[in-house]
Amino acid sequence: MLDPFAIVRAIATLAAAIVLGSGVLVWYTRDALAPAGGSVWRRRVVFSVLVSAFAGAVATGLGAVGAAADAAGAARFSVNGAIVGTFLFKTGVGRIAIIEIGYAVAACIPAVIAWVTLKKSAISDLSLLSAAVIAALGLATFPFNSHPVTLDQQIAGLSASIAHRLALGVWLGGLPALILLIGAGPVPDDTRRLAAVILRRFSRLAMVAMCVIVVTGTLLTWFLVGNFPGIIGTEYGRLLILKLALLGGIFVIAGGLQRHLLPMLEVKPSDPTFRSYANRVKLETVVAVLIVIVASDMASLAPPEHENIVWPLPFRLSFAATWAIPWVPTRFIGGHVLILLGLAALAFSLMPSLRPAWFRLRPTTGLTAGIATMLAGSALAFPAVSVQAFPDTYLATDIPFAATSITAGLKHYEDNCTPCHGVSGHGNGPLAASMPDTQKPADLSAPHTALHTGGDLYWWVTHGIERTPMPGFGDVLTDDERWDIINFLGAFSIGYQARIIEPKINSGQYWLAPPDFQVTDETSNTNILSDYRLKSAILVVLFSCTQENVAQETARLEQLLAARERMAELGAKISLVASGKICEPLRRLATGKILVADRDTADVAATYGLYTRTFLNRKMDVVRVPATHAEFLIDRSGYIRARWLPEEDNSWSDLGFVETQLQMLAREPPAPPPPGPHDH
Amino acid sequence: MRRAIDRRERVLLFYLVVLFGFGLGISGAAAHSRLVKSDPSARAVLDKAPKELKLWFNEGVEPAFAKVWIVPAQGAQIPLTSQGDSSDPRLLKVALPDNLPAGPVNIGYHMLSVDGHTVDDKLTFTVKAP
Repeated sequence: MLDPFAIVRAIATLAAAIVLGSGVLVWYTRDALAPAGGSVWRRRVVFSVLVSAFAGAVATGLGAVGAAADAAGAARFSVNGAIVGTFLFKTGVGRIAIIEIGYAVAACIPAVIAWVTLKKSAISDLSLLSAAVIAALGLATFPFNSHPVTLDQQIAGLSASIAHRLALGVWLGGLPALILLIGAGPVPDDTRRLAAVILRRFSRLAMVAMCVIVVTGTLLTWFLVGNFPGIIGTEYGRLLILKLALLGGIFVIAGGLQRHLLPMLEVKPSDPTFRSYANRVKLETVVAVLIVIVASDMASLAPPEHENIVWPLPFRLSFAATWAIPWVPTRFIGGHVLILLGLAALAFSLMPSLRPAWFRLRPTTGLTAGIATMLAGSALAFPAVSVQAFPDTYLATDIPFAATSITAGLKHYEDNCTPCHGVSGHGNGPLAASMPDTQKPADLSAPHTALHTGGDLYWWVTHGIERTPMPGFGDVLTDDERWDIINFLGAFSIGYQARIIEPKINSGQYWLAPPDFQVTDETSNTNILSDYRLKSAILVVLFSCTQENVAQETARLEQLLAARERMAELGAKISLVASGKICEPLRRLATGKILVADRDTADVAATYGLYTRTFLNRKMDVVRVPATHAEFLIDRSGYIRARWLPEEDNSWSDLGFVETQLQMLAREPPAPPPPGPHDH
Repeated sequence: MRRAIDRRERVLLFYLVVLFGFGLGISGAAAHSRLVKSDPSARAVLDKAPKELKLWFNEGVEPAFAKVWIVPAQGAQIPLTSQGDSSDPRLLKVALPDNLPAGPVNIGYHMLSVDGHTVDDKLTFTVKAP
């Protein structure tokens, strides 16, 4: 249900809109108000502005109290003065609320002056305009307390939001003034000509305002929602659809007024036409108020970026997953040609002015043929690019793609999945032998394609896969544990693709994201690996200590420590990952000199182990890769770009080789941040 | 003409009633902002009890309305004191009690972000028995 807080905020917005829109309309038409009917209308409008200004001040104040209650986690509007005081004076949000209240109260003063000086129309009109300007400032303040401030495109978002609200104010706020003009009883004779002039001028204002609303609304949707699943899969998106549908209603009403009724009124201002016009303006006002209420409710919700998407359809459209399939491009493009042909037939049938001479079909036949062609085209085009989808398809997790999660997932895999998917993860567990060929467990080392999102995998792990032996683990594993498995599956699969990573940098290879982990830096600060993105390249060195090789591992560390200043000059830091008791002297040696992974070190080692498979080594038969020494070069943009496995070759023994790679990396421009393991 | 107008009005009214019915069916949901990282991190297993908990959010936070507490296995919640960081508006520093027992530590928090929305969530880390 609607939040009472959203209603209060809607009232504050509506009141400010009336002060703005009515004030602007009176100012814009002031030269036409000389006839007797003009002063009657002006008096009514000034009174409505006066009442709105005071109502706005009260609602804005109440809104701040509601926001304070929300901030304190108390029930709506049940807070004491101390909490409201802290909210207003100790928080940035509160200080902006003070400015809003200030404008709302300040708008009352010129509104009172406009009412008192009604007889002196010049002073009254100027006061009304002042009230309108102050109300506009108040409307423009609100976005600083809402979603746009947190956008990456903050300035564009704020500007769009401010323009959106001002345009809304000019249009919506003028509607009540129109009702006072023609909707409050029969229109007297001395007002008829005047009314036609005012309605025409409002129509011009509203036209401009509507264009601004549509353009800025589109921009804001782009910024705040960003993708189609966010529109139909979240509450915010569904409210947006509702808002757009209401706006569609407004266009129908306003279009009818402008195209038919306004010209009729200008030719012959008769009572029935005025009545009809007034009724439509009233309807338009009701719809506009609903839009503001919906928008206020949206403002109290998180935008889709922060919300879980619940996908309502059993399919989704994906070019990435389908375009390479034979005949899909042909079907898709052919289908669209049919849709366009159908649309043309519809247009020719409905609008005789567009109809070419060769189009001989009767209108009803043309309509039927057009609709049939469009349906046929849709049936050809859309199923071709559709893939199966589940409610969780666009669900993502807050659990980062980090070593602790991946190793937890690996353990859950070992505990729950090996009977079917096997200790190797290739789908060859002991139970797999008895399953029919069409229902064999998946080979989890296969590349994850665009056909399945991380959310799809999560759905299957949770609910199982229909008509296959794959059971659901929703009752066995917690939500976090299932996401750990998804993170593990991402690392496991991409570890197989990473077999092609060489000791040498290949340019443009931005696809392999390193799992995150915590490090302690040279000055004992704790950071995570991803904190170094765009700051520094990182050489992650995985030590694997046994009694036999500890001397060799120590020698390598000493070699790297000696080169750390040279590496720093080339924009790189070294990070040590050395787990286990035998490696302890190495950790001590490195502490304070380079980055040291000293939390969950075994997890980090096990995770990066997944990235040490090659086409030569024999690490294919187990999911958990036995530890070996390995080194990974992560570029400044946050991608694994090269790796060295001493058991395969000896290239990085010479640090000069590594330096050459770092010099190459230093010349590269920054790349966009790495995608998640299941993003396509 | 008059009759045509009336009919269109009725169609519009019907459209509005349907839309509003749809609107009423939509229920409010709590706003949700995100914790980006923490130190100790969520679900970390620690050798010794930390003295401080640092929480980083995806948006700036208002320290005046931050509430952080421990949810013990039994008994009432233990409120914790927290403060902002002048150099990083997205960071909240929380002082942890000295006598943190070994085992899972459940932390709950309620936060006001700079866009006026609140965040309610929890995180857990574990202190190993000595």
